[in-house]
Amino acid sequence: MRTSGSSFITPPEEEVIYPYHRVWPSLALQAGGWFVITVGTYAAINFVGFVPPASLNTSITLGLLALPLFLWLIFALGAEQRVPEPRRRLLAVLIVSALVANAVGLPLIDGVFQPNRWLSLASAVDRIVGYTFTVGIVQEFLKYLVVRYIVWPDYFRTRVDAVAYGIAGAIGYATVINFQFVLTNAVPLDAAALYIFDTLTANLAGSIIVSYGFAEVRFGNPTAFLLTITIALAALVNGALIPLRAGLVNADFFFNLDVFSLQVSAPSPLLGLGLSAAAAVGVVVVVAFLYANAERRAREAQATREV
Amino acid sequence: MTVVEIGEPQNELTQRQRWSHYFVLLYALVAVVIGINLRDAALNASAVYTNVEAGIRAQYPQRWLIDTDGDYIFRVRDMTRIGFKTTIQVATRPIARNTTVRNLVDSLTLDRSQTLAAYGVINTEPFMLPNEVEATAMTYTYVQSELNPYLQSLPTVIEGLDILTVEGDQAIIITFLSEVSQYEQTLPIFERFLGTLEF
Repeated sequence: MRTSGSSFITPPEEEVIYPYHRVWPSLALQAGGWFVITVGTYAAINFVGFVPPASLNTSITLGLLALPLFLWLIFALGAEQRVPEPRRRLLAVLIVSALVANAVGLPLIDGVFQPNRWLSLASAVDRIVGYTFTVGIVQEFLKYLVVRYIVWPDYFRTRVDAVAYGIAGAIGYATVINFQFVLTNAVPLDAAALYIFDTLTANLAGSIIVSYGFAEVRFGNPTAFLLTITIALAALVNGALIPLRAGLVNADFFFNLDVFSLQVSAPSPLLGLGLSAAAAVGVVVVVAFLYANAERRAREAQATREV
Repeated sequence: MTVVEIGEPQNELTQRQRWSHYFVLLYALVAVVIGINLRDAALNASAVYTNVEAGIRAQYPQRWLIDTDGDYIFRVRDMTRIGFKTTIQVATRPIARNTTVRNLVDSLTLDRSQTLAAYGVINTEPFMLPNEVEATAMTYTYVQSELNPYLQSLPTVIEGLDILTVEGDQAIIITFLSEVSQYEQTLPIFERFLGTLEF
């Protein structure tokens, strides 16, 4: 046989193709996008002095509101179409979560629990407990119901499917909250960007915690309380983030040598942004570790069975 | 080429999986009940106000701000409200021996029509206080505007309810003020307050 090259090459070894879309890198791209746009918007307005024309204000706000959805469509749903085994009900989970947020979540929180009426002046501990048992539990339980009855267990093929569906639910739910808040209040652009980021990260953190419960109940053999514990933990994270963020934003970290002079403490929204980002990253790192651990244990158990 | 297929279709739930979801439903139910109880405890919690000099004792909403510095015995306001702060106020006014409640209503109407914008009385009717004291209830509205002309805001319509009664040589005026859109929603707070008022 004649060859055009000067030498033969070793034929490639059998390739192992991972047939599913990888969730963690996709999440990192989306979250990175949210973070960059939020910090960019805040810095442009507060540090560069950019003042958007009044006629463009609404358009930019709508763009900020749609950004998480847009990034999710590109990096999650779009990417799913390019793998051999796409997750089939991501869009359904996102849409139903959004509808449930609008039809049940918001009316329940604003009309029944009304946390702003009785928690805004309460002590820090009361606020954490109060928000956990109102906003936190409503959000996490509704997102749980959507995943439970649309995709669990039939559409769960690997553990990280739980993360993918959890992210879809979180983005659907958070987008409705963001639209409702930003469009019914006259919110400045930089404050809107921060609010959108805060809502997204809080919902994301909660959904990722609950996803671990879903995955373990589907593939592992955990205690029957695990899923409940993850939902309670997710509600607590949501409930704690609201007062902690408010406290950090309004805290005075200004160090003043002239202790006898009176200083007005300016709000520090970047501290709140930092807390939201740190909470989301922290939750993702811990849950990713738990997922890796669970996968490893499953592989070891399978290897033991085969031996 | 090898395709990695990790999961397998699952047709029937195990007992443990079923119980996992039952526990979630149970927890959510309990958590919602706890949330509602926390809300009710916070919104209905009351503090006691006693003024021996004026001979008045009442329980007002705990989270409202009390103020005794004006031309009234005391006033409590819901500072968590955006816009107009829902207010309950108790004031006394010395009166002559032959003054009737009707004179008092007319006097208040005259005073307020000169100080409050678009003041108008809606209704005046007899009212029985919880301690069996006869009184008169006067419902009225007025418009409150932002004092700072540079703040861009719409005027607010306020609905008020005065409970007027005469006790010896003084008139007792118990006032409830709320934004008109929230009046019906907040009136039960005033009714609870009236139920605890002793003078």
